[in-house]
Amino acid sequence: MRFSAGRARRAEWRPSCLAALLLACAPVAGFADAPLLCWGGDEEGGAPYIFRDASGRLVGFEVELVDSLATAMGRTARFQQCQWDELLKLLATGGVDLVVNGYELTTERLATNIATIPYFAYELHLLASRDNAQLASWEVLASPRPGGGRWRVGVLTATVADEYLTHAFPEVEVVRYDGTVQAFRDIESGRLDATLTDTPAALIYAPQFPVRQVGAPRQRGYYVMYLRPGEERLRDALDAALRRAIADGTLGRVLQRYSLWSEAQATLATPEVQNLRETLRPREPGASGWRIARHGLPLLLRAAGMTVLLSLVSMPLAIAIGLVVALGRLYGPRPLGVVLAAYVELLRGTPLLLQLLFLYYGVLPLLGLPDAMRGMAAFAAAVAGLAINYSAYEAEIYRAGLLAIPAGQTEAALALGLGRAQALRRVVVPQAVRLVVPPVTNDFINLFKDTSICSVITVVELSKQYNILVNNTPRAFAALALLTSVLYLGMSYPLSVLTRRLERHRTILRA
Amino acid sequence: MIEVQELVKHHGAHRVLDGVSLAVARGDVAAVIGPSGGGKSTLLRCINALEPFESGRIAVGDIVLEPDRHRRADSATLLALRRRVGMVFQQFNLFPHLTVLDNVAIGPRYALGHAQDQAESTARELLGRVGLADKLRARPEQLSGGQQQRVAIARALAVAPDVLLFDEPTSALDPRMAAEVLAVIDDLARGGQTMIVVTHAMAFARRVASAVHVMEAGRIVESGPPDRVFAAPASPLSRSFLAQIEDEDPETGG
Repeated sequence: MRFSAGRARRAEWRPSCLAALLLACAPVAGFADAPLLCWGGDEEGGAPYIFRDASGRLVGFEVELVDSLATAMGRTARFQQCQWDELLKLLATGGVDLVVNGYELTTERLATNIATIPYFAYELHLLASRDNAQLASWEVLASPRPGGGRWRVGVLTATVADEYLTHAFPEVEVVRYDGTVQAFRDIESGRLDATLTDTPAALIYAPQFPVRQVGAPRQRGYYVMYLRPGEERLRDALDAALRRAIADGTLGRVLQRYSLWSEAQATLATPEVQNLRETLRPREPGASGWRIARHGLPLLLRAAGMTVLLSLVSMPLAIAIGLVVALGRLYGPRPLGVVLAAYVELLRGTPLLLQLLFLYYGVLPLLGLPDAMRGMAAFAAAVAGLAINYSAYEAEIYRAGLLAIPAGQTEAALALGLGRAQALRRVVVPQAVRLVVPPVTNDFINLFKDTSICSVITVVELSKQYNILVNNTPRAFAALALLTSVLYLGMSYPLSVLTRRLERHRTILRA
Repeated sequence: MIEVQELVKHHGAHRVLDGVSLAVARGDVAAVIGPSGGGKSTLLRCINALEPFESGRIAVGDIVLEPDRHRRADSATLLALRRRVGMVFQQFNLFPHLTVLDNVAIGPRYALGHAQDQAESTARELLGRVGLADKLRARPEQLSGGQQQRVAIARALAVAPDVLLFDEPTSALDPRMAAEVLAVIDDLARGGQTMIVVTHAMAFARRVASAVHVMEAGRIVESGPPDRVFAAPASPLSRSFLAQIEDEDPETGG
């Protein structure tokens, strides 16, 4: 399991994981005497798993554990960075020999991978705001929330905490995050009632935020290392090294160094725990990817609805703001023009991702939204972020459009006795609007695709839902990817056709 | 009606208008002729306050424009002036997004604040007068140049201006189309419309104008009744200008 302050998903994993495929485990002749042990993890998850210390050295309890196992096996450990969601795919394609990064032992993962014996015992801790006295026990989650609405509880997407909460407390509104810190921050700002995390996150973050533990931790589970099927010999070697590390206290010392030792870790030495993977059998062993994907279809369709809603609400706002900004820049007083130029440059020069995070975590809490609107906060921030970001692009399009209208048009309007505002409104703007329809429609397609970035602030749109489903059911990866692509294409293709039509229409008009 | 006194205007160091004075009485048709770049168009644009000037004075009826005063975008003086002075441009400048009817109705509708149906009936009547009653629903781009310029004249007339300014109205047209536009202007003159026409159509100027002004290098070098100016130009500058254009088609000009 991982946690991070802000996770830039898209764009980033591809180069790193691709590079891993090409380079990481390619044999390097004469480079090292000991054969390499290539393992994958995500240092963005941070302490205490895998992180850099002050001197930039890679540390963390998993780093130290793998290093000691590799040494015991006569091999050299080499770390490969990859985004957590993508690690198991990297493993499957041969980019690394094993993945070690807080992966829980689950039947679903055993369906496509083989696992070592466990190296860490975790439990799920329910952490609630200190101000919230009503949430006194787990059972309270099953009752209505005082003050209206549903309990909002944060989890990391597609973790055991996610699955447990979703199934054990269907009445709770599960808010899925890509990083643990964000959930804690939302508890602080009152948008979340609690968060469900596993032991390391609870140990590391609970002291840093105004939270308290509710009841006793539940659902003990275990972290294991995953390998590709067929790599049983390597797995057996790792198992043997791990058993020795558990028996001789090496693992215990590593965990103690990171303050992760607890009585529960003693169970790692028991045969029941070491044989746990044998007792877990994949559910629905014969279920094909397509059958699983079919079950996910209603969820995907609902998420597609969110994608459409985000686009349809934010684009008109972006167009309206953009027009006002363009008019202000061209015809307003000079100081206003300078301010608006800065607005445009700032928004075009910084990533939408950061703007969304800033709005959601920086600006929205300051507004002090009423309790009843908590559930809407993420959607509101997403719409505002998209609208503001795209308004900068629309403003530039409009500015070009307005400048393209010949001066003679304004002069003719003024000569008729129309005021300057009337001339703009009746003569210049209507012509500029016709001129910018194709580029604006094109931008609408871009915005439509950019809605996927809104998942960083917990909005579940199509690509986020796809990620959730894939992480829960990796076997259905191909089917889900195809379904999701078809949905995206089905929505954006009509827009492309419309754009081409409009372009053609304009060409005819100008001829 | 219109009185221009000692008008001076610069484009940078270049003196475009160098002390121009001109008076046009109600019902008069003043033709302004002269070589290109002499300041004719600029003079019209100053009278309509589309361009500022540095010194001198322009009076249209009781409305007085003074240097740079009219830079203030929407001052009441400006709006009042422009409602009294209409303008027809060389390039027509019709509004391409509106139908012919709406092009003509937009003035009464928004400059005069008339109701839409009233504005449209004004527009219909004027379009009938310029011979385009059958083109109400057409778009400007569907019309010939001559037709477009006739729409532009109807558009300028629709706000019932006291004075109409024509800035080389036929220069962008071939001879046949120029003739149909000049015929419309002829009609207006007979109806007593006060006009200032900047033109290269000498025969037209001679036939229609009550006074001809020859402009060269930012000055009016000669003014007088058309017969006198054309037959016996007093100024050497107008003599050479008139001699130069003698070979050209006198009805349409360039």
